[in-house]
Amino acid sequence: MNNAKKSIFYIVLIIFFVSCKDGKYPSDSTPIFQTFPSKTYVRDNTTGNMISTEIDTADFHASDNCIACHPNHVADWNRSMHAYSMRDPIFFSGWYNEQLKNEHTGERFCVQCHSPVAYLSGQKLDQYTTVEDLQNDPALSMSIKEGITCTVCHSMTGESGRVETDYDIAARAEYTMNPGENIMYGSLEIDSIDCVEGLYCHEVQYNSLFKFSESCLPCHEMTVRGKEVEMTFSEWNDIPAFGMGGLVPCQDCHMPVKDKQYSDASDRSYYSSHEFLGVDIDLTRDISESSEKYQSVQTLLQSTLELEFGGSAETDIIRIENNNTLIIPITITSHSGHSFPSGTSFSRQAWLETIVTNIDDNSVLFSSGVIENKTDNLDLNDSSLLLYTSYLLDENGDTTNSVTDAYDIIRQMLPGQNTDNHTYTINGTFFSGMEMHISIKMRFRAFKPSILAETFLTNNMTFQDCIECNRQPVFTMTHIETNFIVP
Amino acid sequence: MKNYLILLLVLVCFSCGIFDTKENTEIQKLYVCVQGENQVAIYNTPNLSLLKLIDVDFSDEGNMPHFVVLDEINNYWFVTGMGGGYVAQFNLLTDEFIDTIAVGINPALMTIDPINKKLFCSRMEMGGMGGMGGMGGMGGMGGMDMMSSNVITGIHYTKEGMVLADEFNSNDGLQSEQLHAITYDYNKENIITASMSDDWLYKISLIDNSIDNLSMHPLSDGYEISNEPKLLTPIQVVLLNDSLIALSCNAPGDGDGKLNGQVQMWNINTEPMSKVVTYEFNVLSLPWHLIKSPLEDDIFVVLRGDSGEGGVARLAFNEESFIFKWEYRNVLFDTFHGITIDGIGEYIYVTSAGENKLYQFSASNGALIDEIQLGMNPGGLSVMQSICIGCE
Repeated sequence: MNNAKKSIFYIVLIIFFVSCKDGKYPSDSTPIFQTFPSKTYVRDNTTGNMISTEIDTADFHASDNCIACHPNHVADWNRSMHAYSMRDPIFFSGWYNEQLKNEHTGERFCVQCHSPVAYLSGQKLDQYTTVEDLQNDPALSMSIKEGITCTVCHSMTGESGRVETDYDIAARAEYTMNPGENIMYGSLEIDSIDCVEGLYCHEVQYNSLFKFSESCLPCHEMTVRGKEVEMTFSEWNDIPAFGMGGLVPCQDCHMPVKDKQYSDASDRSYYSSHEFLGVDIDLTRDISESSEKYQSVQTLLQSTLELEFGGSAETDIIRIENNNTLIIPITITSHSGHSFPSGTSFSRQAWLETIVTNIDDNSVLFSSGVIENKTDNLDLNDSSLLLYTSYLLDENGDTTNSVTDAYDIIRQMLPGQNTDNHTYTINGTFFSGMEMHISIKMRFRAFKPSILAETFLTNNMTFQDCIECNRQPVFTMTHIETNFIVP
Repeated sequence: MKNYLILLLVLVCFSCGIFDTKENTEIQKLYVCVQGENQVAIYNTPNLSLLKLIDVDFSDEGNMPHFVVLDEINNYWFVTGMGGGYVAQFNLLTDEFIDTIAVGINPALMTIDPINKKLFCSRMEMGGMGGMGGMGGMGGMGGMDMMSSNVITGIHYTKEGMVLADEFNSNDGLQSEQLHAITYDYNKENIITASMSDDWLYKISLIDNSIDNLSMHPLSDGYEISNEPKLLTPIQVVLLNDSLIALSCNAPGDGDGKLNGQVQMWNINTEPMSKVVTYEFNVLSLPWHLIKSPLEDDIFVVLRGDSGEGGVARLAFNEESFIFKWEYRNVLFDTFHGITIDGIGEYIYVTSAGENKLYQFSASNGALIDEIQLGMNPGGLSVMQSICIGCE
């Protein structure tokens, strides 16, 4: 074989091996779903303590690193309950009590969701008994002080399950995340960003998880001793119209698209709110009704429920029966994607405040759900009271405000996307031509007075002396009224 | 020199597959909607090798491929873009895109008549407090009701694409929202559908457009369409024979009055339609999609529950009852969704939206054969009923 023939022979061989292999299957070009790496850890399931972990506190950045390029997002987050999670005095009170009750597990149990950085890195925080202790320790990482900070969520690479707490009350949250690799995961379908010299810069990767309610796991779903105590994700997922396709995920209502206030690293004029709108208010500072935070909570609540006079049948209307009974049927429609109230539903109260007055003399003919002060207890003996809430029951069947003491739960909530009917039956003297004014409001407060009392009322204090307690607003979610003339 | 050139040409041709016979491409494709990735994944069966990922991203407003049906006579497949408000048509042999057609908000399930090249799709309604992300660009299409979910939309299809056909809505007597379950009857003369929000069953005549309807609750309970009881929440309907249908009823919620998850058998040929029997699962079982065996009088029901309530069950049926055959539940199963069965009734395939997985079970005894990791939030799926010769 001469050189020319040898060359041709080798060319033929090369062509044979490289030509046209793409497009046949099975082959190396078979498509695959994108998967992301995650860091691992080994936890002692009896205590919730980390035995070993690949995750370090230094893997997470504080929000200061993010603000230069993402000022809108960080401004929102600063007003959020995620930012409040390690500054919340009610949390600290409960956390402290938890450590007294469950010496070996209490500290980790609360931290698993309130400071995922401390939980995953194994950093113990049991030396801090007050918000000030923790927040003022210069040696403590800011990413722990900031609770659920930016890089916690944006390190998530996969779905996590719910928090399933056993009888030992040990932390069990499983996170699927890849922090510390300089990659921020998110919902934008981009694969690179322009870095600004001198500023913290990171890679970006699109992760479809961020478009779905599953990104709110593991923390917004918790069972204790098999009892479903905080089940917001399931409440959404169990609405067939939503769960079947991931329709109307949490983000639609709690991270709505809004216009930017500040110019930032992106050309878009809009972004998804990172305030994580909910029903809680920071009780450590005064809040005016005109503030952005107050308004955003009120707007969310006002879009949640709808009230109408009348029942499920067309004939079920306001009427007088037997000349001495006023019947007022009410229909309550939930537009919420989960039960209402949800989350720590056992701390919330939503109720109907109903007042019927005689227009002639302005006298009150009937009332239900009326409180004079924001911290007053509702009259639970009022058989007419419509109250949405839940009750945790301890091992003796008594009510408790602590999830770790929960052995059962009475769910008295309105399921998402559902309707409820309530009828007032008011006995009295009603005569033809008598004109009445009927006012019905759905009112809401994030904390029952008993929970505020447990946290703030020390040394024989009363609610009148409690600044934080009186900061809690009682919102009016919706209000209907009508005049009724007895035929 | 000449010999080398000939050798070169022969090798190139062989390596390119020019001389491949059709036998090399005999496959039986399984189409899986991966809603969260806006893709349909195509697997060969039964070995579950991933053949292709088809992008279903025809709308900037959202896509979410939800449910797929196959026409193995004319060689098409169709997928509903639940988040985008459209149905998309593809070539079954090549999986090449053919057409999309806007049908209105949240198209959900479909039923198909390959003989007449026609399909009907049902529509969901997202409700919620905002974020109606799917239909921003689709308002006002030729008088169609784009935003309601009490609409059943007919579509004619050809090799050139799709055109809208009959539409049935509230003006025709479809008073319920959230009509999700849908199937042709045996003679393709009626469409059966049911309302998730109202627990209401409808029979739409394609002959005279009349609509029969009744509550799925006992009439003595006094339910009306306006009650929206959401106690049964029917999800899917399958045709059992020339007179019977089976409806999976999710029975969600909690508290007083919660029903067990169940499958109801109805006779659709009586006047009015009549419930034959109900088979009840556990209270947290949450029956979801279901499918009829191609060869036997059996149905397979997905149980969507978790914490040990989720899995799949096989029920036999006759003219008057369901008979339990087997049930496979596992504490690891989370939010099962779609189900399909091959043409010889050997394997069933089930998607898990909670685990983002595709499961393969033995249809005969429920044994778990295989599981494959999918992308986010898989939904409906459909497998070819016969070996495809000429499929790519």
